[in-house]
Amino acid sequence: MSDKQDVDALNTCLELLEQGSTIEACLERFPEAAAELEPLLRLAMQTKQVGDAIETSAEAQCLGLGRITDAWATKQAKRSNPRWRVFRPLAKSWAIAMIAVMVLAFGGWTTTSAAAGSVPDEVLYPVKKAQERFRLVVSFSDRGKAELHAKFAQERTQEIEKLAARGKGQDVMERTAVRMENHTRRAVVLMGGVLPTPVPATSNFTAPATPQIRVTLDPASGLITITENKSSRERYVMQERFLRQYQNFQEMEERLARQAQTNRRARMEESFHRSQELFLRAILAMKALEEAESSRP
Amino acid sequence: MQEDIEPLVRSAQEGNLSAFGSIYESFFPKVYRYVAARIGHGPEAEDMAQEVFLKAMNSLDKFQFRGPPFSAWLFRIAHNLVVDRVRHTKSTSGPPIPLDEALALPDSQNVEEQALQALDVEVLREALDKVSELQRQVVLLRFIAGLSLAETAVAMNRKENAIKALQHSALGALRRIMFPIVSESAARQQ
Repeated sequence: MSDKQDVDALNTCLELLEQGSTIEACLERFPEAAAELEPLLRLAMQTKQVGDAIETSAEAQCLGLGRITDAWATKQAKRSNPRWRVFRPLAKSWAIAMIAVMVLAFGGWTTTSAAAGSVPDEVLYPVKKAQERFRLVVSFSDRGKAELHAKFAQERTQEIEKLAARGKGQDVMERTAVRMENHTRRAVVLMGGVLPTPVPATSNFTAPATPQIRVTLDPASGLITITENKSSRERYVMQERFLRQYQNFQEMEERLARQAQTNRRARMEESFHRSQELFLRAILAMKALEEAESSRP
Repeated sequence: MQEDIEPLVRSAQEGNLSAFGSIYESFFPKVYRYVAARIGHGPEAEDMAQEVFLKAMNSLDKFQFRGPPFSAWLFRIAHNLVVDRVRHTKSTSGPPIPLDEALALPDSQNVEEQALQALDVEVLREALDKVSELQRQVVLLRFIAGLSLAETAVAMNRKENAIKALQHSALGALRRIMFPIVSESAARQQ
């Protein structure tokens, strides 16, 4: 066979293998090239198997989604707020972080207090966000970070409440809802939870196996099962916070229901529902664990 | 695949985060495999795979359906990030570990099958380091990321016939690198 024929034969065989054929069946089609083709096809299939065996953890995938939702919210904010265009140099995250560090390091109690009460789209809000980032950076334990994320999720809910009371646009409320959901997701992951992976609309995607995780999702009951990697007290604190957050979600749902029905409202409701579902699952799983512990002799 | 992904990409371009989330969930495993096969399995590869999607998100407005398919466009981003990282690592680290130390070389064709079974991602990475950039790309895109011949051709900006020739030469080169004794003996027999 000529070089060109060898090349074509290999490609035909690779395509047949992709369609589910066997190496032996492929070789029968090209008997004169079988000796050369066979090792190449076996190597190709083995390489493919090596690739298929490379799996990432569901946790990493969820955290990546968190980074994306954060970046998405920032991008949308820059796009919709003309002030960002005027103060673009100031809007750089490092600059905001520097302001926060200076404020935190050199006092500025008045500024930090004022920023704490600010809501998205206000001048001091970037300072508030930077303070939050700073607190996350200086919190070293997973539990500490999870508590902060849960607290910040609650803070976002209160901000939405304030925004609604002030009659602000739904776009800013939607961005805040995305941030709230992101904090919720991170809190659940950091406290050892695994988030249910939504089924994408395309391809035959399957969630990767996560043998090392401390918490598993039971597809039958839809419950997150938390293994005993956290002390009872830690669980109690988290459960209390989650319960409060869950009540907030219910209040927000009622508030949203009173607003005009728009696409934005629908997306916000979807975001709330997803977070609410996560919180509810975590609460139920914690309750189940506590009951199991209390029934032990 | 392009037809399936098109509505999601259009929706994401209009500002729908859920649509981009679905794109991410569909492609993340493939992109991660591609990156991990090149720089190694672990947190750094996870971080870089996430970076690919952050870059894609930031450039999504520039993506046009008249141009390359979305998958090819995404893997070009992954390729550029990986190349930058590999270049940086090579300039700051020592020589790579010889492949012979990572792979027990077989001494006859009968054991090639056993050696193939023992092939893992680290051995593959070592071998891929020794082939040309184009051969490496074609192996990563075709067999690790699972792109079709047409998608690979667009991602690499080459004609399909060139990709056919490259995948043939790449597999041959990999085999010679991974199983030198087997390949030499087979060549002598021919």
